[in-house]
Amino acid sequence: MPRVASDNTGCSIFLCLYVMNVQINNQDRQTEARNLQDLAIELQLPQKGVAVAIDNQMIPRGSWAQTALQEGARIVIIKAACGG
Amino acid sequence: MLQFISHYTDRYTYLDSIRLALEGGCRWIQLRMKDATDDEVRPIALVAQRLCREAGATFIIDDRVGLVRELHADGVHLGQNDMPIREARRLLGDGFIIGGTANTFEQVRTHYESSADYIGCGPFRFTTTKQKLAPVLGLDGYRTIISEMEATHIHIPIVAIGGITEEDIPDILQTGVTGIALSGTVLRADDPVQKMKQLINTVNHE
Repeated sequence: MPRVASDNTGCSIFLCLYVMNVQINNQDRQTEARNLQDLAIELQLPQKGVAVAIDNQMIPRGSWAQTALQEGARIVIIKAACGG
Repeated sequence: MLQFISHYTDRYTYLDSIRLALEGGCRWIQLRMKDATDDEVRPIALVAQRLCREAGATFIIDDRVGLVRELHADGVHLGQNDMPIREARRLLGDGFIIGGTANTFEQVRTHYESSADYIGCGPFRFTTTKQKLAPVLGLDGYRTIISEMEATHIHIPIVAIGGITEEDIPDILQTGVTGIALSGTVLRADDPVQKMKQLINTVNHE
């Protein structure tokens, strides 16, 4: 479904991809990722030394690809400067 | 989010405590053996790390940066009297989680600026587990720190620690902290595995 979004110049742009609203470390963020693995790639998380929880539950890295993201998910990423 | 900090009691060894926490569903373990040497910690850490890997849990070791690097643990937790976070980051690089203990907003900010990945913030109340005590924070202490973080746009996961019981969890999470670290409250329970399950349930429903 196309969505209208505004960039910071105030111009409206049409996005062809469905963008999901999630919260990462208490900050609102939009993502095109459908699962945690894709989000990790989008955020360029390192291969090691990062832990992720969705709605308070820690998700092992081996399960990231199978973990679908839901609209409004509250995500915590334990990695410096994530969402900051 | 719940972090279990290993401890020993009359009934359980460090490794027992970790096994119980994992069996209860905890997926974030910190091995803390404050008064032991690296050589005493190494064999226990190796088993603890294997147990955590098998369970898909994140494994952190308290204080011992060298051991963390040697064993390829997931990360290290550094107290106020341990190696400075900036130095640990320089030694470990980005591939390790580094947590730091803070008692005040200023310490949170310092850790954040030193590239910590999360903060262990406390103590919530008086605890016998830690000998060198900083002032207790209580709920108001967390509220103050969280609001100062928001005002200064510092976004880093905060894990509340220190004498926290199951009954405290909803109120503590309401202050805006990210997670809870527990030790004694699990091991003192008649059935620590069942207690851990309950605690995770409590945290997940907040």
